[in-house]
Amino acid sequence: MDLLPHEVVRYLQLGLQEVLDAKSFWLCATCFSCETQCPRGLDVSKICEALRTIKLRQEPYELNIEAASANIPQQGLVSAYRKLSSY
Amino acid sequence: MQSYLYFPGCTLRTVAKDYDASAKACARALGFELKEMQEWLCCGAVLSNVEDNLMTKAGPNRILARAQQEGDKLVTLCAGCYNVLKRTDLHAKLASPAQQSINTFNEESYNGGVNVVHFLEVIRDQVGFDAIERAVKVPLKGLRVGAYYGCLLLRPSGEMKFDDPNRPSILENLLMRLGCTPIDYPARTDCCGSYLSVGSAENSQPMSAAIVKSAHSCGAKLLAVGCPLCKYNLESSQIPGAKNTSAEEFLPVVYFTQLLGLALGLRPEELELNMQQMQAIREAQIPTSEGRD
Repeated sequence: MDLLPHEVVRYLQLGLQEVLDAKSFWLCATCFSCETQCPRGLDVSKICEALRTIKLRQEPYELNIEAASANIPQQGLVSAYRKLSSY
Repeated sequence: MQSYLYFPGCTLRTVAKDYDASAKACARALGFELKEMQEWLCCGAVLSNVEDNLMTKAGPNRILARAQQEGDKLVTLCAGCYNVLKRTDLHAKLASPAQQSINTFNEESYNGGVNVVHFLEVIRDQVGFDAIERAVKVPLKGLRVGAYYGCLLLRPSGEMKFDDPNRPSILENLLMRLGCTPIDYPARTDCCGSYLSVGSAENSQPMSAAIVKSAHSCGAKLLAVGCPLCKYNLESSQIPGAKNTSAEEFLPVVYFTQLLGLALGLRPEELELNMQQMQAIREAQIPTSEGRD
């Protein structure tokens, strides 16, 4: 994780566009753990999803699932396409 | 026989048939039936947090509109479906302009009102844990189980209101009634890596491996889950050759419904328990009803 969640938030507060090139928000699995623990009430999952969405709209990207296991639950495939792919 | 309207979802029709079969078998043993919705479709697996793209919300709203024609309560098993459908109902109740757009697009209106519940809640609130304890035929004495909650059952906590998001207890409370010894371990509500295992298993695997390690170091012999994706991730972090785990730390993963079924006296085959899972249970010296009939 190149930027820690609080650093991502600071970049956003300062309006620094380079935050969009960070890798951190691609590692967020939208588990909402941050949301239950953040003393400032920040919804980090939502912030990460917003950043991914901006990026996926700027530069369309299709998730490659060829390397994924054949036994992976459909639930996982659909989720991954919803969260990590433009299509 | 009491029956509840049931939404299986895609995964319970494919890689998680054991979850579906074991829950239905438990329901029959407890005197109720899971009646599958007549026409269902994909719930979308995760609820989008993006507010300017409503397309991802059409599916779950259509499901609930159709469920409403058959009843006012919908039982789910997959933690993903539970999370999506329950939150979709909450959002629909807000009667926002977005909801109006979704309804117009769907040509099937949904404005809230279906009570989306998880099978665990039916067991706790409708059947009751006292009745479960009375129905136990084969107490799973000595079985040290690590209950693993993951994310989707508990969070976002303000919307799910399923249990305490930081110190949940519903699974442990059920396991105790079955005679098991639930193991408290720090990682039981941590994220397993979820959908990251699809495109970047190298990132999800250490997350799952840490959960297995945590449960193992606290003395668990088995993990019990309620989500097919958690089960897949926890299992695949332990396949031979996987980094971050050692063979000594191996923990089989079962659905809580499979343990419930064993305790109710159902046969392992009915619950689709495999040899590896049964071996772990036997090693904990639990008498099962296997071969009784």
